[in-house]
Order: sequence, then C-alpha cells, then structure tokens
Amino acid sequence: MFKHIGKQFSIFPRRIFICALAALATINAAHAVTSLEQIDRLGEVYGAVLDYRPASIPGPRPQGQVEVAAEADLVPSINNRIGAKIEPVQTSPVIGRVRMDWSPISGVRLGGYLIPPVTVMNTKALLYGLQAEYGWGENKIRSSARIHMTHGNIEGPFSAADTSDQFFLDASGIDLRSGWFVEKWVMYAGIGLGNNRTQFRMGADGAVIDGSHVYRYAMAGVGWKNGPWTLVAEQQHTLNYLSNVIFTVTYGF
Amino acid sequence: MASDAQYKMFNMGTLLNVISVAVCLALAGCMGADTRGSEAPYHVLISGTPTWTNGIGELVSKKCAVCHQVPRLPTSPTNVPTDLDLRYEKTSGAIRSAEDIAAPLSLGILQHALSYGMNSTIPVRAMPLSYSTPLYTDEITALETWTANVISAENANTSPALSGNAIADGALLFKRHCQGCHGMYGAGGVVNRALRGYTGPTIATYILATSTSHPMHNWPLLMQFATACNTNCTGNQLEAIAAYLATQ
Repeated sequence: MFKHIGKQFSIFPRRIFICALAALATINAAHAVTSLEQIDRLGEVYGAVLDYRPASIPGPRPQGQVEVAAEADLVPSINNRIGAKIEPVQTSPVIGRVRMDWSPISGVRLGGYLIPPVTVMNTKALLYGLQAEYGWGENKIRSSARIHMTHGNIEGPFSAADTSDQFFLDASGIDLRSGWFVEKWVMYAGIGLGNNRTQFRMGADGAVIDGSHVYRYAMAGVGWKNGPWTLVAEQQHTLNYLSNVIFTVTYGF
Repeated sequence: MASDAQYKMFNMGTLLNVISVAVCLALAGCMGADTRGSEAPYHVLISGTPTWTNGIGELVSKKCAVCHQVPRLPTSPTNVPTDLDLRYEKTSGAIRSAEDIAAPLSLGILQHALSYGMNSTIPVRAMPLSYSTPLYTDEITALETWTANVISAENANTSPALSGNAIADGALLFKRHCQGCHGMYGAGGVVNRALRGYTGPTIATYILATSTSHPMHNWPLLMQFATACNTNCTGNQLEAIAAYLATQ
C-alpha cells in the first residue's frame, strides 16, 4: 500500500521537471538580433497573449446547455526592449474575460467573448473571440475538436508616452483535446495549430510593421466539476513564444 | 475487480496528481515570454581596414538600409529621405547611396542630431534611432574610419577628369563634393540648403562666410574653389556646379 502511495508521490518531482522543461523551451539559445526581428517577435508574443483559446474541459455538452465562464489569463513578464529602447507598453499581469457558450445540439458548443472599445489608462482595446467545438466520448475518456478565432484592435501609447500607436491582431487556430475523467476530476491535454496576422502602426514615425506566422501550441489542464460549477487550471504553451496559465470558473445551466 | 482499499488508494493517487499539477501551475514555473529583448544586438566584426567589401557593406545594409531604401519600406519612418538607398555603395542615377553618407557621418550623426543648414527646417535625428539595432563602439569606429577614407579620397582627387563642358564637369564636382549634404540636384539635402538657382559667386560667398568650425571646412577643395571664384569665377568649379544645377 505504502509502495503504491510512494509511486504516486514520485510523480510530483517528475511533473516539476516537465514543467521546468516547458519553461525552458520558451527560451531559445541566445544569439544576436536585429531590431526588426525583435519587433516581429514582440508582435508574436502579444499575439499569443491575446489569442483566444478558452480554458475548458473537453467532451460533449448536453443539448441546450449554456455555460458562462470567468477567465483569468496570467500574463508573464514581457521584455519590451527593441534596439536600445524599452518600449513603454503597459501590460496587465492578468487578462480577465467573461465568455459564454451554448450547445445548440448535443456535442456541439458555440461561444465567444467581447471586450468593447473602452479607454482605460490611455489604452483602448476592442477584442473579441469566437469558438466552435465538437465533443465526443463517454465515461473516462472524452475529447473535443475546436476551431477558434480572435480579432484585436488596440490603441495606446506603446512606443512613447505622448503618441497613439495601434496594434492589430487576427488569429485563428484548430486544436484537439482529450481528457481523463475520474469522478469529479478531469485531467486533459491537447495540441493545436494556429496562424495569425499582426500589424503595429507607430503613431509618431508612421512606420508599419506587419507580421504573419503559423505556430504550434499545446495545453494541459486540470478540472474539477461539481454540479453546475467547473473549475479549471490550464497551462498553455505557444511554441517558441509564450507559456501562460489560465484559471477559469464556469457555471453551466 | 478492485477492492475498496485499492479504489480509495486510486482516488488518493489521482488527487495527488491533481495537487501536484495545481502546485506546479501555482508556482508559475511554466510562465515565460521569449521576445528576444534580452539578446545582444547583431554585431559586425571587422578586422583590417574597413571598406565597403570588408564589413562596411554588411554593417550599413544590416543597420542602416533596413529603413534607408528606395522606394520607402512600410517599416521605415515616413520622413526618411526619399533619395537615399543604403543597400548600395555607389550613387547611380537619381538615388544617392552609401558614399553620400560620409558627409553626415563626419558631421557626427552617430553621436547627436544634426541641425546644420541655414534653410534646414527639420532637425535630423541622431542615428541609429533608439528602436533600431544599436551600433557597437567598434562598429562606430569602423564607420568613422571608412568615412574619413571616403572624404580623404574625394579631397585627394584634385584633378578630376574635367571635360571642359561646364555642365558635365559641374555634375561630377557636385556629386563628389556637394550632394552628400545638399541633396541630389541641389534641391536641398537633409542638413543643408537648396543650391539650385545659385550662381558660382553666390555659392563662393556663402562658403567663405562660414566659420572655420563649419563642417564645410572638412572639404578643403571646396574652400580653394571658393577662394579662387571670389577673385575670378570664370571657368571656376563653382561656376560649373551652378551651370549643372541650372539644368536640373
């Protein structure tokens, strides 16, 4: 019996190790860069930050179910240096979203979120995301295939205090997630492929920097479901760009 | 079939797994963003005498020509000079190229903004811009050495193959001694006045009126031309330059 418990405990450092590897994977071997590479990369990182990939457990939902979820997307510290300059981008350590999903027929889930263009701290952001998901499976193993898209238009003083710059994002992706359900607990993981177009317009200089990338991403999460409530903690990893964590509270009815 | 004890143990194991993942996430061990902001700027190492083919070409292409191209790139500032393409060493046709930046480099554009020029309305910002790829000290030294060599070669060329045709000679002289600051066709450069429409004696008067600290004095041949023109400008190089500019 204790041997068995010991085995379970032994998984703990292994997870830490895997976690550390995932963090290290975001850091490429250092090599010399040009400012255009830095600008392009910074756009990609912010694109990944804003990409709408809601944290939710996979699997089918019953027909007619509506889910309302509050998400807290933890944003890591971002180095905004370009050339010899630290760009004065103000990034919130947490991005909050309220999303809503609906299952018009069993297994299918449609949803999205919207942040209206309200100016806060000199920054005006219009952001919305949509997703369509098909879930299948019963009992212990359940899966979902999902497509999602994000549109963002953010205006603010990103390059200097007294200028108005703009950042545009159009992103979309497709992913597959599978989860292992044990009573109230769910552990799941998935992989996906995304692509985006970013554009940064400097207000003062008039420079326009376009970016377009295809990227792979993966996620792993833990969910706890109790009646209409579901709590989810999900690790997301956008290969080469970003690792972030999302916490979600969902109420379904 | 699992016994109750095994079933409970299985649940405990699952719970431990869940807790371990949650702790791992809570520790935020998997948070990070690779913007390349912490990486060292691109560095061009030059050994020996810096020439266009020995390092300067790569340096200027990588760190200057990312903005200074014709036609203007969308990624360039809107007020970048429209007749300067630093992908090339030699000026050809209507587009100035790297040999023409010897003048602003000698005026210290790598250290400070330039505000020379009586007609200059737009101060020229120090290069590279703060958000551009920075220059290392040894790269600045190499650029200054190359600049000095370019200017020295221009000044050493005291007997240009003048054809006797004032317009053709004027074009050659203007390209060699003037357009770096005064722009193509004398239309006004980024740091100085438009010369188009001036006569030889007028140009000479302006040149001789400058103080010895004025960057014009870096071009001693010009001072000689002006001194000679001030006495008798017939057939003088400044007359040729004025004749050329009158055709532009």
